[in-house]
Amino acid sequence: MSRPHCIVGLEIGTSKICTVVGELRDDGAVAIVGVGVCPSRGVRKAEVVDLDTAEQCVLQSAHAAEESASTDIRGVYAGVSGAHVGSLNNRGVQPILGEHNEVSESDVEAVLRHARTINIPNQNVILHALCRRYDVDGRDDVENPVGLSGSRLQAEVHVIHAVRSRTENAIKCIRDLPPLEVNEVVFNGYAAALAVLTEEQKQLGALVIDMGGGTTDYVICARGAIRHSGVVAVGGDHIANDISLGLKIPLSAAERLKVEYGSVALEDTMKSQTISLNGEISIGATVIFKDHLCQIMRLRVEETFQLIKRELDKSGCAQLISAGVFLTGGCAHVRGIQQLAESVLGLPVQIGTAKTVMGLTEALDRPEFATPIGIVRFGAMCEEMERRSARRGGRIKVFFNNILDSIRSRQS
Amino acid sequence: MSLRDSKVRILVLGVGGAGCNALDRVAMDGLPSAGANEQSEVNTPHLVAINTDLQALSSSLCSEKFQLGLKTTFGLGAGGDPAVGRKAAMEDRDRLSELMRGADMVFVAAGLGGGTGSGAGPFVAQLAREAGALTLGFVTLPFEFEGERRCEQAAAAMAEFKRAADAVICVPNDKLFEMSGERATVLDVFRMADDLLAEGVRALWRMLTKPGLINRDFNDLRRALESRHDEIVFAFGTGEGDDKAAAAAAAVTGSPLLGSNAILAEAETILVSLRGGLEMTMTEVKRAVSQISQQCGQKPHVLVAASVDENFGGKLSVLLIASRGRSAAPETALAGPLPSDREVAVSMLETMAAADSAMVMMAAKPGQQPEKAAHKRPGDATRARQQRLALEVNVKGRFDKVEPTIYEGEDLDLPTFLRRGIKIG
Repeated sequence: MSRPHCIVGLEIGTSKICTVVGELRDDGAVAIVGVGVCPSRGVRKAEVVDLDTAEQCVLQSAHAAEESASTDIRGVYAGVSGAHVGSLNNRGVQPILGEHNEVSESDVEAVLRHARTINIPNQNVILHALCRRYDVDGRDDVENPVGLSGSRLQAEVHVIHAVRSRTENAIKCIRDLPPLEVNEVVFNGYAAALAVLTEEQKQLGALVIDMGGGTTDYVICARGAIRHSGVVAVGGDHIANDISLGLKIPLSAAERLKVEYGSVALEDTMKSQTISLNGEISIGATVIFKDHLCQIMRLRVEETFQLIKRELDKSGCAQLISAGVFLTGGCAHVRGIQQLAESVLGLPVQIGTAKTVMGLTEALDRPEFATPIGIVRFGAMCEEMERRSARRGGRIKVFFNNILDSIRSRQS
Repeated sequence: MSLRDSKVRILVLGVGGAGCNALDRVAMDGLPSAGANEQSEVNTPHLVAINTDLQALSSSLCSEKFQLGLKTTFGLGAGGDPAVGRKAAMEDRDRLSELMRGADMVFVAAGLGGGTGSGAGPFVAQLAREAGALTLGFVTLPFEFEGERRCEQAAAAMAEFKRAADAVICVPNDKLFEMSGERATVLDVFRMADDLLAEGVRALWRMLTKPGLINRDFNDLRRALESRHDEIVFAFGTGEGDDKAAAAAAAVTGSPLLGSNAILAEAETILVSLRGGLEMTMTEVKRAVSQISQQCGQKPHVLVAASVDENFGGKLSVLLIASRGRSAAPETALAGPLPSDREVAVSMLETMAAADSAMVMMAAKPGQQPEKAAHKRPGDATRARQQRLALEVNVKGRFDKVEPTIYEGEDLDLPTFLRRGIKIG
């Protein structure tokens, strides 16, 4: 059993490992047809720390997705994140020498190649080099320069890079399970933005904050392109950990309190509210004050938003976010997080759900599925591009595949 | 009273091998002279190399040298024995007192762990303080691999130093090792220690003498440091380019010398001294200072100094000195006679219990407390027991053994409420 054009996104998250199967329709639209989820083990702060255990979870998640979509899964697109992911903006320049001073495709390739030549540590690889805009002789809002006349072509790219070995761990986790194969890797934050933002919102400017279990990934889009992105290795696990330490209760109980009673909004009524954990920790009831719980949570979440606010200010795009902030990831479920984010960031905040694809609504409406769905969208983009370049006679793939190629060449 | 006032006399003493080496650094690179309209001779501090080892002393670059305890060591070193170092210093008590007379501020640089620095250093500091000078100890602690004996000697000397001097700035060599990277040779790291001591002396010196946007005089420093009898930490960083203020501040707060910033979180007084070119703006000063004080949990008393150095164009360097509040260590234990084992243990437990009940176990406390106890009673059975006890306190929970998330020098794995010193409940 197999579907015609299946694209599979696999996110190895800190709290869940999620496989999403999408179908690429002929008109280029993507429909989600299957989802498989498995609680994650062996992953910390979005990075695999126990390969064997994590592989088991990947397998379970993939099987569940196969069942849900009634198809076989082979090649997947894998999401990566972690503290090692970083980004920078760079610029490439290419003089246009050809006939009639017209920009040719090879000029565009060359300028992108120059822009990708950046000074990153030796052990790092480029995950994405996303072209922000072209500039032909000072006109800096060119979307597609091919065919335009000029003497100098410039390209501005946003480069997302990661530590090679740590990226390889995520890939290994999937590769070790034949017949699974990794087609391509994508930065989770970028994937979340792909899932959530419409073209119009990208133009208006938006900040996507994907607050998951182990990390908080963020992407700043403005004027249709990504301006800044990064990872703060703090997530829902930290909230539960703070609760566990602050209230002196086991992690499991902290996790449960966070989900069932937790909130980051402080209300006066909380002062009198107590939660009793019956016999969970000691004999008899342990009484927890709700305002203590919420204060601990609020401090952590508030701090994380403050860090992102700082990054936003640093990027110089704070004035360009007209479409507002989109919160995705499991932490978007925390009560009161929208209001807290609004007060810290000073921008309108909404919970981000996958708007750019169709299909299973129970998955699309949940912010924690934005990233894996976005990975599917990324896969669709890759395949679209491959198809297009195949039509043009197998031109090289400029944007993608570089990390996988480098890994393959090392293995062989 | 200002340093630009001829009355202020500063002495920089290097005691023992490491201390003299550091002093050589200061002498070699020279101290920046004060404002052009000042008479430089008045402002130049006296650098005096003090050592028991005549041979080492003769190779020192300092013009003023002080041979210690000729009768005790016959011009040889103290042989790594602090008792010998102390005896040598006592022998020359009168000459040393003479040296200190009239000094307003005395830096005592020493490497702890050996004989002369550990034995004579605290004694020299004590004499300086008796002479009425604001006395700052500037010491390095030995590498862990140098062996337990040296570490214990250093810990004992550190406790004595704290008791003797107004405040002690301490640079553990192991931290230097962290800063220097794996490739660094042994010599590199030792040189770095010397450089740090020299830079610390120089930065304080600069702060007091160079005319600045914001002047801090001797009295400010005195108020910040006098009679603390505790360890203070210092760190510095330099930034360049457009965002140099932020870069310098980030370098400071990220400095390994500050540990995981827990020290900042507890700081009671911080002194931020900036040095920049003629183009330094008030905004930059504000930026750097607020970035640093943001990291402080307890709204400390902040002293800001900014000096302009025409040779420092395009760059900005920040020196941070932080002194902790005195709540944790019972001062009587340091000032009075050494308490019995039991007392130490009880006070330790009380402190820990108090911290525990308030749920503000500052991140550094488990590490620090035994350190303090260690300084008080080196080589004591109590120490080992307490160290183990403290290590069991896990302030990072599930993130205890994973790679820490460091953001601008702050360990984000520690609960936010702990780092900000907020009491829950």
